Amino acid sequence: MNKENKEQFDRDINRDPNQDLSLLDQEVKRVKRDIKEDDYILEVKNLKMYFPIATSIFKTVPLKAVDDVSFKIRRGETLGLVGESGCGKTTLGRTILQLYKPTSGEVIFNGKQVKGKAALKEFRKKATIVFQDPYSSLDPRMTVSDIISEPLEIHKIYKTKAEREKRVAELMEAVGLSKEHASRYVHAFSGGQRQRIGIARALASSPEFIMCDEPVSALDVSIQAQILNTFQDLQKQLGLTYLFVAHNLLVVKHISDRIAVMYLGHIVELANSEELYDNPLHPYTISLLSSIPEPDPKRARANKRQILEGDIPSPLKAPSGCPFRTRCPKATPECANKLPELREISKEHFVACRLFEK
Amino acid sequence: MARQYKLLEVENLNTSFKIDAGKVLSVNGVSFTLEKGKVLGIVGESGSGKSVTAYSVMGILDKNGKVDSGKIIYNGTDLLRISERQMRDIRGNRISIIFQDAMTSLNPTWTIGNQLREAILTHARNPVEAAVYDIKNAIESDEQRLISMRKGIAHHPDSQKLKDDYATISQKLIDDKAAYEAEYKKAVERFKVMKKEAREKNKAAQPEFKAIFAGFKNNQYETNIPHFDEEVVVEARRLKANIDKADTDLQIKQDKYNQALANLNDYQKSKEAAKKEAEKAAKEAAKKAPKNKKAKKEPKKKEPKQVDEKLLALQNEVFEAKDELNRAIRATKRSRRLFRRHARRAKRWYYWECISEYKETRYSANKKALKMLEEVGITEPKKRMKQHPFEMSGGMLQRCMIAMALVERPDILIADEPTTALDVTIQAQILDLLKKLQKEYGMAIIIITHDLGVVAQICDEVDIMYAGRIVERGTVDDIFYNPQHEYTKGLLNSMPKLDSKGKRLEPIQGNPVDLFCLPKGCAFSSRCKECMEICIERYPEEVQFDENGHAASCWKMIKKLYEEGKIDIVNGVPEGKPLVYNGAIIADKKKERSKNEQGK
Repeated sequence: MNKENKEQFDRDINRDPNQDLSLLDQEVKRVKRDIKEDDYILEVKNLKMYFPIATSIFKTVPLKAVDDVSFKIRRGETLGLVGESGCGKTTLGRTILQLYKPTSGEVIFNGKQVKGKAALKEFRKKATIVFQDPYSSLDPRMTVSDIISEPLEIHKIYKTKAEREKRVAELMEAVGLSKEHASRYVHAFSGGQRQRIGIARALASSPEFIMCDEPVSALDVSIQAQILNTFQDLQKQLGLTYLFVAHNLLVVKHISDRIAVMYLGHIVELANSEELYDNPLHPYTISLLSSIPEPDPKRARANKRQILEGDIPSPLKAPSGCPFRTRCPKATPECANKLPELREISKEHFVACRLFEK
Repeated sequence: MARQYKLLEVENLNTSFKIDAGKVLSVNGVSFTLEKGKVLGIVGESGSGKSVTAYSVMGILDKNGKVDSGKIIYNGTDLLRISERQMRDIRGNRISIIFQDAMTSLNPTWTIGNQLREAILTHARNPVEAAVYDIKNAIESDEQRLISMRKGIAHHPDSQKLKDDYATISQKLIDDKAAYEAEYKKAVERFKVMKKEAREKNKAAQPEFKAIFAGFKNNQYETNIPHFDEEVVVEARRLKANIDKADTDLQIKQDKYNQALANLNDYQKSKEAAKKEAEKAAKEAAKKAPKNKKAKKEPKKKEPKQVDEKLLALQNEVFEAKDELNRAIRATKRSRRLFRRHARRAKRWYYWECISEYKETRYSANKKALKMLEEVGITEPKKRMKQHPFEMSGGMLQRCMIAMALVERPDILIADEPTTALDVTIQAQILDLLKKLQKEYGMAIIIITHDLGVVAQICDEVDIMYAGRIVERGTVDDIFYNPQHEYTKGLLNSMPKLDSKGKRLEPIQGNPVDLFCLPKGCAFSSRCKECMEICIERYPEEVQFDENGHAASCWKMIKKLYEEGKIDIVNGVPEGKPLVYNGAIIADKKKERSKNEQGK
């Protein structure tokens, strides 16, 4: 072992295990989360996102990635968005942030519709994104300080460089990075640390809403837990609202207050996370939940799983009527007729299935 | 639980990679055993050496990777000591592997059927080779041993024991060679008999085929083709029905054409008759009418040509009928051609089926592949065989890869993160399939994963790896409900559970260690909450807690067990020798302990 490693090693050993987040913990004690029933931060109305796909030289077919989706997010809550790959959950998140221009539909943020240049700029300041892949979402030619202060420059939040640097240091501390690393380039950081840089960048413009696009799926289990804790702490501290997109159902359950289940561009079920896991109603949700690989061998042995057959159909050849009917164990011929609406079955529990329409 | 038949034993495996900056120790003294019909899970974070362990077993390390020391004993043979030719017979045949990303592991330019057939045909041996295979291997290993012994004798010319051994082995080699020749001759005889039988069987069916082919000239299409597979006859019946249908169709079309032609003729005749009559009438009228010179001189006005629409329609009908008739004729010819082709194919299939009793052919490989695809739950296997990987979804491809790995019914399947790239629902499908096939074939599976959820679903035993070493091992219940090593506890606490809502996760702090500069002591010490001084100084030997094989390498456990008096420490801590396992030195325990105390 050379001298430098030895020093690093000693430092690692003598470190307080909770040191990373000690700063946050103090804050957490002061601020409590409270979510008000009708204080909606974001409202999505009939949002549609169709991509034109050229099938031949003369013909384009719309790929309905997001098809008529409406929901509301309360201030300070976490809305989880789950579904198989290709169901449109990432597209939905990006369309809400206006990274794609929606085909139709409205996004209402803080009571105002996001429309026009000025509104969009204000919206971009208040609603940010954390990307999935921490390796490709950070510019390798920029230092950490450059990356984190870029939003500050764009939104002209601070006038002097010194102020910006102070803010960068604050942000780095808040996400559990040491502020001495600000002048380094991203290649010197591990996956978990890179994701922390991504989070710091998202936090830079003091947003109210963050879209987390599978932020932990590229990370190792132990690092994943660290990042999840950071997300939760920041939410408590800053009163953030998250739209948390993920395909790992255990992670989503852990972090979300409410969960929306997507299938082929539609939301098929939306409920409180406890309610959804205890009392799933839509056949797709039921089979999705029963296929969770739980880290508990006894329960795994006892669990009789309802396993879905086949793959998710291509959105280009989506079935008529209910999109899930081709794989649904309870499907009847009537399902092919009409697309079921998302209805409130009990309080705060929305389902889009013909079986519950009576 | 008594240890059963050990299928695979890995002992003190060390694998390293050479890179520009030096040597990376990826696997650092890993030992484990795999019993028949068990599922072993190897769990660890990225870079913990779990995949490299598997690749070392398979002998598919990258060029810069090397197994430095250790033993991998499969069925009594050390896989590190055998030749590449022998390894080829084991790899993909007795020990198979499936990879994480099916999309990139399969060849994009080959059809699925081609790739499956390759897997079968690569391992196909004719019976002569198969019969003498073991002896041939024995001779090879004898020769290798003799070469190494010669070196030994050169170094120690006085050793009588070496010389004796040398003599016995050379004698054994001579015997083996004799046995090889005898066996080879026998096998050749056997092979000849089998060949003859197959030929005769094929010959016996030839007259029937001849009769069928002769029937074609007289327009007779018999469906009773000699076959091994009912499908041949079913297909023949279908083609026969096709012929009949085409024939009746032809008859109808012929009638229609004749009718149309007759209609046209009738009309033309009637028209001509009418025309003649009209001309006659005109002539008569001209005769009767007085001659008018003026009128004669007038130039004839060109009358607009009258289109006879009925005639056109009738002609059209005839053309259409003719067209349809031609098409019908072509259809009859085509249906017959198809039948003849099927018969020719059936003859060839019959021949291949006869041969397949002693020889693997493309035909028999195709059949095996189809059956295998069906077993792994692929719908429409015939269609899938002709498709390329890009035409199929991820779950489908993973199934294909499982089919490819299992087609030779291996004893061991190594699954390297088989479900990481898949969705939850597809992951559940694949895990279920693996479980089902494991029960059916009674094979052992090594599952390499970082997902403890997958482990809980399918594994019997679990090894937890960290920085190239196994830090804890035990049954699945031991690991999940009674974890001992701090790393295992940390991993379990890092996983969100269904009822963990609202609670904070307790992750392991810090990042995984760099394999390039491993610490002297326990590699986990820098992240461990309960790190002691000795943890940094020395690597803890593995201690076993109970007879089920639950074991861990952790100083905390050693300390606890020592205090409980279950194990003993020779020469004290930390300078002394490694620890002694359960029971080995229990007799001298008191003596040793008093010595230790004196030492302190």
